[in-house]
Amino acid sequence: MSDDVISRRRLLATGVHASAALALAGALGPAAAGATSGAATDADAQPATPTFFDPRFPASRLHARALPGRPQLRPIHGDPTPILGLVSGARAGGSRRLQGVTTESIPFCLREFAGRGPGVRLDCRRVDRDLFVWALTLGDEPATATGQPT
Amino acid sequence: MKQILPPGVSVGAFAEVLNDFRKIVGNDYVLTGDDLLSYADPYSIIADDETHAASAAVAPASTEQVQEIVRAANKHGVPLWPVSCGKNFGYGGASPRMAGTVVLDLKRMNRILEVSEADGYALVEPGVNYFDLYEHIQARGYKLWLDVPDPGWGSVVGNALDHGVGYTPYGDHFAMQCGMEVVLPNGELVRTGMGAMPGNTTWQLFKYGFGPYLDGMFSQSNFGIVTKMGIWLMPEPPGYRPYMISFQREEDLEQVVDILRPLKVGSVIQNAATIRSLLLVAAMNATRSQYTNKPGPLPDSTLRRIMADQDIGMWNIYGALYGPPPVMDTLWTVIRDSFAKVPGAKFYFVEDRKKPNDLLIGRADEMRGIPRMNEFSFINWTGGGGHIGFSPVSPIRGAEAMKQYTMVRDRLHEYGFDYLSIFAIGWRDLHHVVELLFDRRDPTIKRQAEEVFRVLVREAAAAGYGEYRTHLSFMDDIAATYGWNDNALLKLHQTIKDALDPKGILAPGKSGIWPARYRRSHP
Repeated sequence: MSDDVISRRRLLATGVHASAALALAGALGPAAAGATSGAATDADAQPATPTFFDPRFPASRLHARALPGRPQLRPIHGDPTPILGLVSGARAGGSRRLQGVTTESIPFCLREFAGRGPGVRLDCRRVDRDLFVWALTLGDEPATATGQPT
Repeated sequence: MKQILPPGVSVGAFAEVLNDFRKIVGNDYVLTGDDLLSYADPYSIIADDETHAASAAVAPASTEQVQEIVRAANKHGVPLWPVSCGKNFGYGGASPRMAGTVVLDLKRMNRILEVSEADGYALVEPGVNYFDLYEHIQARGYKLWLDVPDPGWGSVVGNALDHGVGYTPYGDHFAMQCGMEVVLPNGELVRTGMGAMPGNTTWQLFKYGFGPYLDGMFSQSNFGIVTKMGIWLMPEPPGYRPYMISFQREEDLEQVVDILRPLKVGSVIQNAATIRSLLLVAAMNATRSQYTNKPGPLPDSTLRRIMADQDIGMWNIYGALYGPPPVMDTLWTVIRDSFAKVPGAKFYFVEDRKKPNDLLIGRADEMRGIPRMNEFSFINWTGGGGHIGFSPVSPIRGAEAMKQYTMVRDRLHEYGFDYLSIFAIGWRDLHHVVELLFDRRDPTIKRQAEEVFRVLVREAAAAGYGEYRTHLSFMDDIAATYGWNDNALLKLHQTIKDALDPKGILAPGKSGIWPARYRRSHP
């Protein structure tokens, strides 16, 4: 970006600018924009945690429901594009944790996109041949004068 | 992480050069230790993790800082490995060829310096990725399209320099570059083409300037660090219609390619269309275990079941029409009638495809220059996520395509791997990109993958096929196959290398080109 100074954190991740990923997420529809499927409804509980499952695998939904926090279930196939936009949205919107039980392309791309650097943690464990359970915790990130994460 | 040093550089000298780098870029942008995990090859099939391990990384923010880093590297004899965004994972990512090399990470140089809507070009730095440039163009409402490779997080400059391809009519990325700024291995700065003339306004418009055309020297090479590059952008056409054509039998490939050649050479097929194998398409929407738990080649009955489940063919063309509707209608009539000669051919537009992750839906974005990440879906096929690309080139001839296909398929099956490939159709050639998938956590499978890859390189060369790009671990193997006239081309590369980079600090081993200091016994 012409007026962007890339941060050390983004240097350690993919370098994709937040606004670019958000624009992409908006263009790609409900999964990226935050629509839910089978979301938990306990309104007085802790904030919902975006929790991804792969509808192609019944075990994925079962495992995802059992994840900690208040799982807010969202379907995603192997294409990681929508979730990358969501990561940027989560950073901007204050959400600090994403989790899921998906195929490997999702946590793999998350690690490259956001999973390294100060305050960022991605835990990932293989469940079976196809599925991986993962949790991404996002660290705080200083904002620029424009409010745009660097 | 274990500290690895550049060959022949002492601990003290290395500490000294890192201090010099810190003075140039600041402490935050000299990376060592665990921070180097970002530069590791995630898909390495080499058993030894240290084979391509970096000793450090340094990330400049400007051309001037690149020049200073290069001068410091010369002073200390420390090798540098430039990467733009380092996301070319099927070919090694950001890892250096030689262990101990310092990664020169250009990601911070991410300025979009100019976009000309009228003339259809952008001038960008190497850290600009496809998402960034796409967002920049969209935000300003320019009626221009990018041409994007499959994962959109890679560098516009890096992809063109590595001869990457996309899928619009501008799919040959290096052919679409125009004008470079390059830091030479001695730190000197040069501009190519019309950029060499002060005050000239055609740097991004006319490639050749006056005298020898040098831009090609800086692609897939270690002769300079490109810090700015022009890239031509496609004017938004008045109409766009992506399509898919499927074919039902393995042997159809020969007829399909022979039909395709005159259509492509005659520009009836306008874009960089592709032919995808059954399993590469299937892997976008399914995993192997959904069909079988048995190892070994999939039987024909299973292949037929996959085809039926996903409504895809043994081979699948993904292309697009561009232009005013009457032009697209006419072109489509010719294309459809040509391929209808293949028994069982089926024709689809996007509205005919219903599955949420259907490949044509993703390709419909990519063939109009919208960056995506959906291609990562295929790494889920076998579980374990690793892949590298084997990429021989052939003429657009059916018999040649069939020969390559059967040769590679049989050898992969022998070693226990599935055949997943894409034939990317160039101006006069087919890039046969074979995705060798493996479980990156399984050392036995990784050893088999390495072994079969080397066999494929040798067999392809014996049949007259060369690879157009490759993973770090096989650069020497591929370079050795370009050995006509007692390796005259490699000798020329070495002569140029020695002249431009006498201390051998820039990307030792890139594309099989080693500087004199490492040539006799490179690591």
